[in-house]
Amino acid sequence: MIIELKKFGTTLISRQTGREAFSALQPFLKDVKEKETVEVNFGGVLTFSPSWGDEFLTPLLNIYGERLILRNTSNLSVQATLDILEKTMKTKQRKIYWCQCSRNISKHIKRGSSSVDTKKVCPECGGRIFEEDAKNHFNLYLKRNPKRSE
Amino acid sequence: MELKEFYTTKELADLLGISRVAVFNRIKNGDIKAQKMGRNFVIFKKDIGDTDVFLSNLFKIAKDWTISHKEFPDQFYCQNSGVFQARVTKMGELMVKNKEAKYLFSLLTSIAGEIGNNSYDHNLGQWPDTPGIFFGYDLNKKQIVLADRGVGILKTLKRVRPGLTNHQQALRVAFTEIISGRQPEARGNGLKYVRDVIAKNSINLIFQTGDAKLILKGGGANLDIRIVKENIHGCLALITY
Repeated sequence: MIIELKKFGTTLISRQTGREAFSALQPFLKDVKEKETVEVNFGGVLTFSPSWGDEFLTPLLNIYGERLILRNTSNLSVQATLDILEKTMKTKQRKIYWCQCSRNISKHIKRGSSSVDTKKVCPECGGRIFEEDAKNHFNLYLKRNPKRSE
Repeated sequence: MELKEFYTTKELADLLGISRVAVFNRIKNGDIKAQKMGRNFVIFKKDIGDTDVFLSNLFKIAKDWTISHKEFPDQFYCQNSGVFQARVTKMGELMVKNKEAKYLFSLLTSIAGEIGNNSYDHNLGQWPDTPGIFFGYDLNKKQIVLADRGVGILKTLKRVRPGLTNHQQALRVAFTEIISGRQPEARGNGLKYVRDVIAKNSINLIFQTGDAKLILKGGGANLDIRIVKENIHGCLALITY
């Protein structure tokens, strides 16, 4: 799946608009297959900031981990933002949520809730939910412009 | 050691966050009173009083607003973040076409956006008097000015760091630690980002909250925090490049 960021605007700077963009993306994320990569294309973006990026990229990284790939990141504000987001991710305890059947269901859990009720069941399969530190599962770094596999 | 009673042009340029050429131009125009010492100019401290008045009209307008609630033209007022977003986007578009700002435009727009949005995010529902911010820019003078009459950084960070006692401490924490006054939300990287960008680029920042003033010079990560005589309400920022 390829996400063209310029379709959300060319000046991406506030938390509110970042959050809204992530919400707007939700229906499309349902179609992402289990091993499919999610590519975020920064081509055409003029200005990018950590506030917008934190609301949009951090949850994507928590859901897709190493399957999240960033392309066309040469813009200076994109580079600077990705640097600070990586730094922040390493210092913060990001949580991901697993269902009993070992599926990452973080995208179904509302962000910002400090205490998720892990006694609740998975909205997809009805299995129990477990909470874990994201760093136990992913390398918390943003994969930038990797070479495409043939 | 005896304290010097004057600044060299280089020292004054660093202090104001502007170039030496800009200082020379202001000396030539008579805006700054200077005396020749050998081949160079020096500026006596007694002659300059408040250095801020030399910075720009925009900065002075914003500062007067934060200190004494003096009115300013509507064109600089952004009542809500939607208006601010639109005006920052416009500034970015103008910078792309401006040869002086072309290279840094994305970073300048981005850090102005972070500082401005911080004002809204941390004062939402708590503006003491006037909601919204002052946002002005002058591409010819290569400067961007932002200001708010919000609660200020000390009061915001005290919610999560009750041990903070003065504006200087709060300003240092805000620019160095990943901490947010809106916990448990995962925030707090905006001003660290601003510092990182300035450390790697030729962009300068003067940032004041309460009676603490921070000077960040382009290309360096050193935090120069001083106490100043005027105590402002909220925050006041001048970005030059």
